[in-house]
Amino acid sequence: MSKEVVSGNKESEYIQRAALGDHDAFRQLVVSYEMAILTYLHSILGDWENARDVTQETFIAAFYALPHWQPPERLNQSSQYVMNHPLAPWLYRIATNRALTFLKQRNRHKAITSLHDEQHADVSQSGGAVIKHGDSVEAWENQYVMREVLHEALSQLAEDDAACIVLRFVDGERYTEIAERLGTTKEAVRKRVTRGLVMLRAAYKSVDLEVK
Amino acid sequence: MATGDSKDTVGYSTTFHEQRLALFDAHIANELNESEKEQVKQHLNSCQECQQLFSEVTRFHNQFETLRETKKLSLQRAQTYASQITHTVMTRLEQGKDGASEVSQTPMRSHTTTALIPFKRRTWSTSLRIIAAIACLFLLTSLLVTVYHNVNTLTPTGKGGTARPLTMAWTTQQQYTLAKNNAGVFALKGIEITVAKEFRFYYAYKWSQKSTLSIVALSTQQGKDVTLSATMQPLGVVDGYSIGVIHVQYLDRVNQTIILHILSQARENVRWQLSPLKQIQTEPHPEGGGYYELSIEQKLLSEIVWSGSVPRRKSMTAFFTNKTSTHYLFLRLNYMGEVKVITKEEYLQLSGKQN
Repeated sequence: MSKEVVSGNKESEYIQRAALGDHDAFRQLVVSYEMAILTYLHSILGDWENARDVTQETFIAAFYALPHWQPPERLNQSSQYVMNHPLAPWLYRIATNRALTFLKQRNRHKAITSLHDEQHADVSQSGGAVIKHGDSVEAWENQYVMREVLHEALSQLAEDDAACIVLRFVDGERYTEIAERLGTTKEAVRKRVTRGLVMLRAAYKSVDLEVK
Repeated sequence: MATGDSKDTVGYSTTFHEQRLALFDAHIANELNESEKEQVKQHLNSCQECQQLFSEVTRFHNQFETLRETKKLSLQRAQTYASQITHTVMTRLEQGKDGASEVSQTPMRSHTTTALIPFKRRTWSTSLRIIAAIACLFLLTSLLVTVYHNVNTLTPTGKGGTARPLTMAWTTQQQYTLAKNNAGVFALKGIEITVAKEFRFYYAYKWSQKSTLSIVALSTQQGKDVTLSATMQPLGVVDGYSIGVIHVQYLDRVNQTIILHILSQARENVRWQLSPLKQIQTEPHPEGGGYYELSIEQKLLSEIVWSGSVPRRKSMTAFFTNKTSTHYLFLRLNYMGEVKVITKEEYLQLSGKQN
């Protein structure tokens, strides 16, 4: 496996050592990425506990797949973020894959409880008061529908496209920021978002018809 | 995300108009330069289909805003969860030293209770089988079995998750979900805890008198009683059984028992007393927002069957039926507390089934 050493950061060194089974080196990588992957997975799943579990699965899978990892093809032209974090695009792809698998496996009860965090946030906002009626119910239902729409659309998309849609619509990132994070071009992100929006439209119609 | 975009044409097709979706999206988010903005504006003036697409993308932006906002509000919790990740991952890798492939294949946390217990095939001797069968029969006939059922707090599988213990905040006291006396019979058929932190007790009763009933709900903890706000909502009649739901205020008090006094309004006499729930642990989500369903043994009053709630996107459906499934009472519920009787046609429509 050819490894490109990125000057100015230690990540490539950690990657090389971790690929040979060095747990301490891998620990450094986990520490470096855990928050980014956790918050990204929360955007997909809407629940911190599930996001944490899937983050763990992502890193476990990454550790065993690391010997097969290839650095981004155009690393030299990549964003500063990917120059410093060459593992990022690959980890986001694994995380997306794991999250989509998780969603497929989730039974109906978990689908309900995934709303907990969103509701919790609402409660926090309202100073601990229990939400019961009126606008809050409507907001809660809207969140539920949009989460359903998102999951429906993601299930139809390739991992890279799914990641762009999540970062764009749930995290509210700009095209340039997504390109930076995923080590790709703004134009590629636009294409992915286009495909994602086509799926979101279809999913929205499907879910909207179902709830009417 | 590789820098290449090899999947651009694989498995997707977009119409001529749809190819502009991301452009509209960027325009709405004010991410286009002046020249691009002008192009979009001019095109929209002359294309009705794109105007429709533009308004749809605008709607997406607005509606996803609610997800963004709630995520921002809960970001402070991220650090708590992140702090558990490194330790768990490294522990699992250490455990997997001699069985790397096994660990890498470990499934994610299972989402059905049945999958939580690893099952091993064993060869049982005949005598053991007989003993096991007798034990099973004994257990089945005993109504003193306490069923723990808390769908919101599943434990992770062995290596597959963190060391989070199985949380069972509530236990259903099956033997106290039904009361029979000279007045008649009163049984609970289902229990839910809604996201608005309210108990919903679904009931069925038969009583010779026509008098209206009322409810008093108590939380009893070490001899100290707290009266809980409670209302009875009659829903209808199935095979002579009055059906309804009792809404009870939720309180998080470890070791409390929830007691329901069903009173005859005319005489204010207690007709039936039930104590269906006991709290054995602190509620994991005391602020509300979780949705729980606690099961009740339907055979306790076999004449009436409760279907349990089935999610239908933002609402749920359920029904009561009689033993022979010839009479139904259909309901639409939401996760907050509302329970409404609906027609069979509405039920079929909500369930996505043809009439």
